Amino acid sequence: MSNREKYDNAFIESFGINKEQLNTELKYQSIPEWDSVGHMSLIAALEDAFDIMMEMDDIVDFGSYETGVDTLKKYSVDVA
Amino acid sequence: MKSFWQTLEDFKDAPCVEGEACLSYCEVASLADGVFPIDNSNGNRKALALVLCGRNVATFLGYLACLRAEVVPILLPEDMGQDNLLAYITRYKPRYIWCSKSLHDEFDGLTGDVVNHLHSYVLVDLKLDASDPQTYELYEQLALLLTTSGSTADPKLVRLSYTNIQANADSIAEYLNIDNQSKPITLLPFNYSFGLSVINSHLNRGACIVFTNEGLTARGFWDTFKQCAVTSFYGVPYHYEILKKFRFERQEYPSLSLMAQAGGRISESLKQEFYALSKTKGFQFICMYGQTEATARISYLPPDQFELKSKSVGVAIPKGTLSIRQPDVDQIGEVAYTGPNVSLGYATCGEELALGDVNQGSLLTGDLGYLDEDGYLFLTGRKKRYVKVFGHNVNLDHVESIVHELVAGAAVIGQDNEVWVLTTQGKSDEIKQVLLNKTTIQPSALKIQQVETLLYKSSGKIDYGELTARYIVHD
Repeated sequence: MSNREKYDNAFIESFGINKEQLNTELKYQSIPEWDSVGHMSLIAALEDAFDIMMEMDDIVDFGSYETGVDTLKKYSVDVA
Repeated sequence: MKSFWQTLEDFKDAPCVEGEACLSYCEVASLADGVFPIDNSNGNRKALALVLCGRNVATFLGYLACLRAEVVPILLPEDMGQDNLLAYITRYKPRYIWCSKSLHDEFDGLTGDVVNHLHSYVLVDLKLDASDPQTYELYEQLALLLTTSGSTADPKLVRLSYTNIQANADSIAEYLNIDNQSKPITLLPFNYSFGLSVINSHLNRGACIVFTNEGLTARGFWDTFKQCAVTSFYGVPYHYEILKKFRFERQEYPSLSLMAQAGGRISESLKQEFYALSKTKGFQFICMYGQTEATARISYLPPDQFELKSKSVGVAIPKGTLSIRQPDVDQIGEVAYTGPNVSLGYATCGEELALGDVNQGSLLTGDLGYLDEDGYLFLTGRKKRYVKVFGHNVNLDHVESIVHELVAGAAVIGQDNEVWVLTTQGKSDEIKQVLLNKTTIQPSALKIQQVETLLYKSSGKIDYGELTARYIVHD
């Protein structure tokens, strides 16, 4: 599985959404499923998928589907 | 004796609100008094108001306005959905609604005039139609109505008196040593009894409350926390799990002097971790237990007893008494509590708002447990089928009744933060949709499982114990 697929799957499975909903509009609290509970499920799914441990600052700044890619770069994960 | 909401002015220019806005106690009192029209003529009857709560200053002012004007608020979450809200209006016939302007603008089918506005909130006067047999009579000591469970489709309310609110605020302020230097932050919803108790107990001592509507996982929450030098953190077990995930021990919040937990069972390891952290960082960590039926708080574990009694939810709060009803051979029985904070009773329809003090200061909690020789309470289970889902009570029987409207061959089981629907007739997607609409169960806590058959006891009743053992993996 590519990193992009792993990244997308984390969102799809954590929020129970479909692939069409993965776009630049997908942000923290933009859908009911992405609340604080959903946020922590997403972080756990990403950490599992890429075998990383994120810092608190990065967790609270993980604000959107789009900018999350940049956050993961800090952990040497390239979601091209 | 006057109550804290009547004596806000006594704290004069002391800061009352920070964060979202900066207001002194005098300013809060004067803004609250401007919410209701001076002539809120409702005959000789007290008026009822729905207050749709966000974690914001406008909600706070609306709540205080109600207490000061002796209008009885029903506190509800602002995101409860129009259908649920209309069901409350039909059932209880409130005179007023206090809600955000945007919510009011989006609300179809709501009649009534906007008679006031403050911050981003509006006061809607429903002026019930003359053909309506008027509003319901309210018991003179009735001060406040709160929901009992996480399910907003369940319209059962807990009836609280003015005495209840003041008594619980007094007890909490006493055992937590709250003073005018204490500074909590609004993490918990105001319509949730634990969240409301934080507000009440701090107003009671002239403390300043920091307002933010952000959650723990948002940057804004922690920025406000630092900028306003918050001293007191109140959270449910799930909040502590998030903090652990954050590796909170590596963060520095020098202003923090108290971390308190309530709202359900916290795992032993998590409890131990935060207690150890409290020792190294020099704050107090206090575990507590309570119910909306007791206004909020019933017991607390004094931190100096933590090492001896860590598995206990502590001793009764000041002016309260705990006992065990019909103890078995292990001394385990139903936990009973008496105290001035025990609610008047429930209301399930408008007529019941006129009822007086049904409980008479004595509450059967529905929890099972025992008291040790020092009076420390240890909880062992629940009499009824409730689980806690991220801090909210979920009545599994109620969830099951919602599911049964769609699928007869289904059972609902659960444990903390997990609600499982076992269906023998499919319709998983429909079940999920209905439950997400009608309850506050988080999507990630809801599991729908297709099964061949349910399991039954010889009596013919569903065997929830066996189903739980078979389908829910215990950790």
